[in-house]
Amino acid sequence: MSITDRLSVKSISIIAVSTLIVLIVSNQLLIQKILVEKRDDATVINLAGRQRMLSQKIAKTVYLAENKDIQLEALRKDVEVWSVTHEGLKNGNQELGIEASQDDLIQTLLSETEPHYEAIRTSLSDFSSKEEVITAIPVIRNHEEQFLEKMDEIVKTFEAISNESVRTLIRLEVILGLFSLFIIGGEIYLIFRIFIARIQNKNEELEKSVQELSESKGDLFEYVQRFDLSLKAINAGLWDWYLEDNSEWWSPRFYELLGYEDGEIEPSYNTFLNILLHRDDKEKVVGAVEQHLKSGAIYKLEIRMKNKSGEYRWFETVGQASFDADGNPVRMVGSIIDIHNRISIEEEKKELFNTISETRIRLEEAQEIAKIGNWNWDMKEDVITWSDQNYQVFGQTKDFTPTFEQLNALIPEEDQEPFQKDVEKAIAENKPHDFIHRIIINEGQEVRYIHERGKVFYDDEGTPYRMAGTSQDVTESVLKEKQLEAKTEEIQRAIQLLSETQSAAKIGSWEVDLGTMTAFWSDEVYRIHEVEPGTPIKVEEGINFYREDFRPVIQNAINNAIENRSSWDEECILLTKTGNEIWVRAIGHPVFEDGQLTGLRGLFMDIDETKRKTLELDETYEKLQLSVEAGQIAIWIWDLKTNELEWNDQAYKVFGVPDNFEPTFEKFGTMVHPEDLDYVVQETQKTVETGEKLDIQFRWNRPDGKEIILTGKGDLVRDEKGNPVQMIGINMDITDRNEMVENLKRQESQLRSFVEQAPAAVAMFDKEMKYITVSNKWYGHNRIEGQSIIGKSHYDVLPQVKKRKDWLSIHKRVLAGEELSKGKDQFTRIDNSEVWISWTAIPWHNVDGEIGGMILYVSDISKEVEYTEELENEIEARTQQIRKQAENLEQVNKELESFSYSISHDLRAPLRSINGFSDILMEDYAEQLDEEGKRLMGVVKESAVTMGQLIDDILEFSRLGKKKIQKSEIDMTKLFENVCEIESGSYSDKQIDLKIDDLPNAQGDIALIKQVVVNLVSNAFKYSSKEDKIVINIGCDKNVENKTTYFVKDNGTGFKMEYHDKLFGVFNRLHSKNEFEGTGVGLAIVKRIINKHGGKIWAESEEGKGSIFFFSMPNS
Amino acid sequence: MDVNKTVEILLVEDNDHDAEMALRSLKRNKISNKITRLKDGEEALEFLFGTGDFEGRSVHNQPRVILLDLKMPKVDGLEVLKAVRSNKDTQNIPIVMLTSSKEERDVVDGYKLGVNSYIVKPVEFNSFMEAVKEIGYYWLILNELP
Repeated sequence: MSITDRLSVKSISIIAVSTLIVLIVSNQLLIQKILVEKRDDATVINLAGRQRMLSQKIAKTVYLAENKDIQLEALRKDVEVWSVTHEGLKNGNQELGIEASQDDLIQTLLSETEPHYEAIRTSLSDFSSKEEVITAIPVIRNHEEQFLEKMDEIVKTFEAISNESVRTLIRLEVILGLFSLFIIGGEIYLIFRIFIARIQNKNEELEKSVQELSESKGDLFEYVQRFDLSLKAINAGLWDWYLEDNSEWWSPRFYELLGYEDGEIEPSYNTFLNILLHRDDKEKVVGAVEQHLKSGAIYKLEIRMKNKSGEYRWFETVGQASFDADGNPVRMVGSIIDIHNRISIEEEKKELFNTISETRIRLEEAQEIAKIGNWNWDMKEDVITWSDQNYQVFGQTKDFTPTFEQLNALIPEEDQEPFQKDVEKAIAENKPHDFIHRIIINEGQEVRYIHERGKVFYDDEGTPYRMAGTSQDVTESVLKEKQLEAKTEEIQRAIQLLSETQSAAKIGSWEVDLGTMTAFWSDEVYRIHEVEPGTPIKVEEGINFYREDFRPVIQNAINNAIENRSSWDEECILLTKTGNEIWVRAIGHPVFEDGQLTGLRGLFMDIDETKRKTLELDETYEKLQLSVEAGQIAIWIWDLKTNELEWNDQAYKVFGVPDNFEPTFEKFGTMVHPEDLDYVVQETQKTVETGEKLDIQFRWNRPDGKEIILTGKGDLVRDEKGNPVQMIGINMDITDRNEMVENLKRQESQLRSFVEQAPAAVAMFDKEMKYITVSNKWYGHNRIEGQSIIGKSHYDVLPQVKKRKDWLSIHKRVLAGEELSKGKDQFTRIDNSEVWISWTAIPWHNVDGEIGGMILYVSDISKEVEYTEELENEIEARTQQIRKQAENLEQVNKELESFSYSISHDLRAPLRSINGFSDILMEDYAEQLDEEGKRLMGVVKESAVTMGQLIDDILEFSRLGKKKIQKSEIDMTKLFENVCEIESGSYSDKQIDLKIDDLPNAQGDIALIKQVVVNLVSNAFKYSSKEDKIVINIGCDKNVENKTTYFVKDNGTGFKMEYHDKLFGVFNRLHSKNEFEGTGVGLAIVKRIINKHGGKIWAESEEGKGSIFFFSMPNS
Repeated sequence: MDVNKTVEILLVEDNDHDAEMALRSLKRNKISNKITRLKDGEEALEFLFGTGDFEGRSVHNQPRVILLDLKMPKVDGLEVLKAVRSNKDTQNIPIVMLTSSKEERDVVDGYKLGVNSYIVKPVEFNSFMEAVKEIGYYWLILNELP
C-alpha cells in the first residue's frame, strides 16, 4: 500500500468522520433552532389568530351600537390590545414575547394590512359616546373584510414556512444517512484493497499496512468516541419513531440515560409506552402526540421513565413529526434529556414548602396554645399588623391596627418608658428586643403581662425599616412567680426570725455532713465563734476551735454517741477566731439514714456568762468554807419560837467559850459588852420586826477576860406563809482589823491636814475622782475660791477637765497604779484663763493595800514658761542677726575679691605706660635730656616699678586669706639650707657666718612655708648686711605645748621691742626705704601663713644687737 | 579699610598705650609686617567671622597668630577665645593671651579654653619688649600651622 493510499485512507476517514460529526452536531443544532423558530412561529400564528378574532369582536360591538347599549370601556380596551398586538407583530414586542419576523414575505403582508388597520384604528381612536362609535361603522364595514383576509394569509404563510423548515431537517438527516453509508462503503473498499495488496506485495509491507490500518481504525474509533462525547455533552438521547410499524430507533445515549446497554431492550413505541413510561404520564404523552400529529402543536413534555434498576427518573422529551405529501404523519424524531435532578430539586422545594407550611400551621397552633401572637411593625408607615393570635393576646378586636403610639397607650405609664427604651436600644444596637410589659384592657378591669420578643430589620443602607416578633401572654406565670416571691420572702423572714431568736438565746444550730466532710453553721454559731457568717467550715476546723484540753473531750463524746447511737451534751471552752476563751455548751447527736451514719446535728450555746458566774460562785463558796474552817467565822441559827441557839464549831472558838458550852440568847447577852448590849438587842429586834438585815458591831467580853470586837450579820428565815421562823447569822472577830482602821484613819487625817496645809495646789481623790481633800492653794489655783467641793466629782467641779481626753486616760492609768507626771502642760481654768502647769499624779493605797484614789499635785509654771520663751526668742533673734552678718561678710568678701582683681589689672596698666613711655623717652630723646633730666626720668621709672611690686604684694597678701593650705611633710633643714644658699649669693662680698641646726620636719603647705622661710632669711641677711660680718643662726625649740618653734637669729640692726606690734602689720615698716628695700608687706604675709597653719610668730630684739624671729608649727 | 588684606598678626588690645608699646616692640624686632590692631573683642569677632564692619571678609583669610588681651570692654578675651575655638574656620589659629596679672583663675580659664600661650604684661618695659619679641618669633617663624 502506497503512502498516498495510506494518507488517503486516513484523510478520507478523518474527513468522513469530521463531516459526520459536523452534520450530526449541526443537525442537532438545526433541530433546536427549528424547534425554537417553530415555537416563535406558533406564537406569531397564535397572535395573528387572536388579532383576527379581536377585530371581529370589535366590529361586532361597533355594529351592535346601532341597536343596543354597549360597554364603551370594554371596547376601548379591546381596541387598545388590538393595536398594541398589531404593532408588536410588526416591530416586535418584548412584553408579548415576540420578535419582529425577519421574513420579507411576512413583512410585506403585514405592511399590506397597514391601511386597513390604520383606518379602523383612526375611526376608533377617540370616542366618548355610543354615537361617536356609530359614526365609525361605515369605515369598519369597508376595511374589516380586507383586514381579516390579510391576517388569514399571514397565518397560512407562517404555517407553510414552518413546515418547510421541518422538511429541510428531514432532508438533512437523509443526507447524513447516505453520507454514513458512503463512508462505510469507502472503508470496505479500502479493506478490500488491502487484500489485493497482500497478494501483490510482500508480507512485510502488508503487515506494516495492517499495522497502519489498525492505527487508522484507532483514529476512527477515537472520532466515534468523540462523537459520542459530543452527544453526552448535549446530554440528549435520540429517538426515531416510524409510525408505520411503531418501531423505533434509540441512540446509545438514549439507552445509557436509562441505564441500559445499547440495544439491550427492543426499541419500539410500545416498549416506551408500556415498559419505560410511568403509568401516570401515559395519558399525557398519548394526548400530546395526538395533538402534535393532528395540529402540529409543540411536543415538549416532562415525563418519568423507569430505568434499568427500576427507578423512575424525570426526562424532558421534545419531538417533531414529518409528514408525507398528503399531510399524513410518517415518522417522528425527538430527544430526551435527563432533568431528574432539576425536577427533584423542585420536588424537594415543593416538599420543603409543604413542610414549612405545615410547620407554620403547627407553629400557629403551638402559638395559640402558648398564647403567642406574631406582629410586624412597618416602621416607615408606623403600622403594626397582628396575627389572629396576637389580637387574642392583647384582647383586641381585628379592626385595631395600632401605631406604635397607640400600642403604648395600652401599656400602663410606669412600663411605657422602659418598654420604649428597650425598643430603641434594639433598633440602635441591632439587638433582640425582649421585654415584659403590662397592658390594661377591658376598660381598666384587666391587667395582662405581655412578653415581647422582636428583631429589627435593616435595609441595605442600614436604616431600620421593619421590626417583627412575638407577643406572649405571660400573665399567669408572672403572677405565679410573684406568689412564689412572696412565699420565698415569707420563708426568708421566718428564717430571719429563727436566727434572731437563736441569737437572743445565744443558741445556734449546726449540722455536719460526713459525706462531704463539710459543716453547716447557723448565724449564731458563726457569731459565737466570731467568724464571718457564711465562711465555709470544714469538720476538722470545727473541732480545732475547742481549746486544746477540750478537744479530746468532745472527740470522745462524739465517738461515744456514734457507737451507742446516743447524744452528747458537754460544756467546753472554745477559742474564738479572735482568740477569746468562752464557755459553750455543745449538744449533738449522730444522724443515721438507712442504718448508715451520714452526719451529726446539734445545738451550740454560749453559756460563758452563766458558767463564769457559777464558777465565781463556787470559788466564793470555797473561800467562805475556808474562812469558816480557819475559825474566823462563827455561824449561828436562832430559832425564834423555841429561842434555841445553834452554833457551829467555830463559834465556840470565836466567842472564846468551852466546847461544852450550851448557847442560849440570854447567855449570849451576858458576854456582850454592857455598853453595847442595848444596841445589840435593839438591832436584833428590829431585824425580827422589820426583816431588815442585821449588821452590827459590838464589843465582846470573852470568858478569858479579853475584850474583842465582833461584827455580826444576820437574816431571817421564813416559812411558806412568810412568817419569820429562824434567824441565821455570823459573827467575826474584827479586833485587829479595827485597830488597823483606827490607825489608818489617823494617818488619813494626818494626810488630809498635810494636804490642806500644803504650800501647793494638791488634791486627794477617791476612786471615783471625788474630792476627799484639797490644799488651800487648790482653790486659788483653780479659781474656785469659796466653793465647797469635798465629796463632789473632780469633773463636775472643773468641767473643762472632762474635755481633756488625755487627762481622762491619765486618771485611769494612775488609778490602775501608775505614777505619772508632766513638766509642761497647758490648762484652761474655769474663767478661761490659760496657764502653763506642771503636774504629778500618784495613787494612794488604803488599809487593804488597794488603791483608794489618787493625789494630784499641780504647780503654775506660767512665769517660767514665759521666761523660757523670751529666752528662746532672744536666741532666735541673735541667731538671725549672726546669720545676716555672715551673709554680709560673705558679700563683702566677694566685693573685696572683685576689687583686688580689678586692682591687679587696672592699676598695673598705667604703671606699665609710665614705665614703658619713660623708656621710650629715654631711648628716643636721650640727646635732648641733660643728666638731671635723665635722673628724674629714672626716678619716675623706679617709682612705677616699686608701685607694681607693691600691688603684687598686696594682692598676694589678700589672696592668702582665701587660699586653702595643702599640708605635706616638709624637710625644714633642707628648705632653710636651700634658701640660705640662694640668698647668700647676693651677699658674696660679705663674710657670712651661717649655722643651721638639725631641724625637725614640719607639716605644712610647702609653697607657703617656703615663702615664710625666704622672707625671714632674706630679712636676716638684709638687716645684717650693714654689719662687718653677717652672723645668722637657725635652730629650733622642740615640743613646747605640742608645737615646734623654729627661729632665725641675726646680728643685724634689730628694732626696739616697743615697735614689736607694728612689725607684722601691713605697710608697717620700721626702717625707711632708703635704709632697707621693702614694701612692708612681707612680714604681714608671713604672719598670715603661720596663723593659717595654726602656729604663731613673734620676734625678740634689741636695737643694734640683732633680732630673733620665732615661729611655731603644731606637731602633727 | 581693605577688608580682605592679609593679616599675619592680629593684636587685640583696648589699652592704646599697651598697644603702642606692643607694636613698637614688634617693629623693633622686624616683625612689623602685616600687623592689625583691633580695639576690643567685638571688633575681633567681626574681623574673624567677616561680619559687621568686616562684612565680606573671607573666613579663610585668617591671621597666623592672635595676641589677645584678656580684660577688654564689651567682649573680653576669654569670650573671644571661646568663640574662636568653637568655630571650625578659626579653631586652629594660635592664640597668645596677654594679661596684666598672674591671677590664677584667668590662667586656668584660658588654658581650659585652649589658649596656646600666656604672657603676663610686665611693668618693666624691657621685659615686655622681650616677651612680645619672643612670641612674635615663635608663632610666626618657628611654629608651623597645623
